[in-house]
Amino acid sequence: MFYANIFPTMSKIDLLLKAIADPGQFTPEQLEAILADPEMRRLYYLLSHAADVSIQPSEIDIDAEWNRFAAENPAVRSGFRFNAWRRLVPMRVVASAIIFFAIAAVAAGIAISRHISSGSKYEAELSVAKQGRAVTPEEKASEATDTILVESVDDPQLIFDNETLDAILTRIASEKGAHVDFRSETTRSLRLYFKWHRSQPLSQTIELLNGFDQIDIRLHNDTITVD
Amino acid sequence: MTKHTYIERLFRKHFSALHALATHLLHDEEAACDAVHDVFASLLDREELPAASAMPAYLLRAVRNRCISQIRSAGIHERFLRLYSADVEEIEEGEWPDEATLKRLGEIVGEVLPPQCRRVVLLRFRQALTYSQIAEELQISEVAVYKHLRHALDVLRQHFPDHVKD
Repeated sequence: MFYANIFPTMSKIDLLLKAIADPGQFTPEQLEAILADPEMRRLYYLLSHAADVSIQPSEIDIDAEWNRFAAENPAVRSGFRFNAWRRLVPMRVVASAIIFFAIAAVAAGIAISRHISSGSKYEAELSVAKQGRAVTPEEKASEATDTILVESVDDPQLIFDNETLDAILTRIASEKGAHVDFRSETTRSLRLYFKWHRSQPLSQTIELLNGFDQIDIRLHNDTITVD
Repeated sequence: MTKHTYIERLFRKHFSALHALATHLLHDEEAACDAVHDVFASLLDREELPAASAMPAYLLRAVRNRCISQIRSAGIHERFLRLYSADVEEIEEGEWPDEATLKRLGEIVGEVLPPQCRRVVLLRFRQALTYSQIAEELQISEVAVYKHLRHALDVLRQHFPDHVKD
């Protein structure tokens, strides 16, 4: 269909301006016909590129963008795929951590369930996953997808399964508008099973995580400091 | 350096440029952010990453391809509404955005167009307002909005005669 058959009394510019203002008034065939006309295609080209230059990208808050990216991609924060924590943390420290957690796990019956003494309805479950044995390639491959078992905007809780403390706190801080400051690489890499109730006050979450002797977290204003 | 650290460095170093490219192509800052995020997320799935020296070009190409894919998947109505390029091949071949033409277009929009005409153009293209919304914003009639856009297009035609043959 040639453009002249669409609105015979309209000039090409008028027709194009009408089409970009309200393309819903046109059928797909009519819009295709407009672009098939060489002159209108060139006019459209100019308009499209004028739009290209008119839209100047705002200044980006890189920190905010990175935090959003990290929150949406848990594997980024945990570095699972490269098992980076194994390279970063000296083996002696890893061995100590494994022994500590093995003892803690046995003492607590693999998982530690802890009710807040104040009588809160929230419950935290901390356990150490897969400590003391080699992680198989299949497990490594599945770790990224296993990481967060329950996740939806409306879900009242998130379950971090075998996640690093770094990943857990980054996610929590991101949702609570806080900032995390790790002062110990060893603690950063500790892996936990943690059920987080999203409506829980941040101070209460920190209290639960401090249930591990190995972990020492302080909350001051909006900064979570991990020693 | 861990993969995590490496990707974070890349992200911080290149995000602004990649976002600018995607914004120019998609005419939507949020969609542009998502496109860039998608590219970095795809890096996570790669067993091997491109060499560091090739990474900037790789990222630009990947973002460009992501945008092309989005433009291609848009229906014709959405293409018109968002003023997506009708020449995807031009983007594919790396001929657009062309810095020199962008600069010229920017100068025309920013300096040659009369102030009210420029305001109409920016409200239409930068903020994606409808003609009636622009009319309300500037306290002018819709007919006046239309005339300003028509004038802008005439000016563009005069400055880019090689792009428009009467």
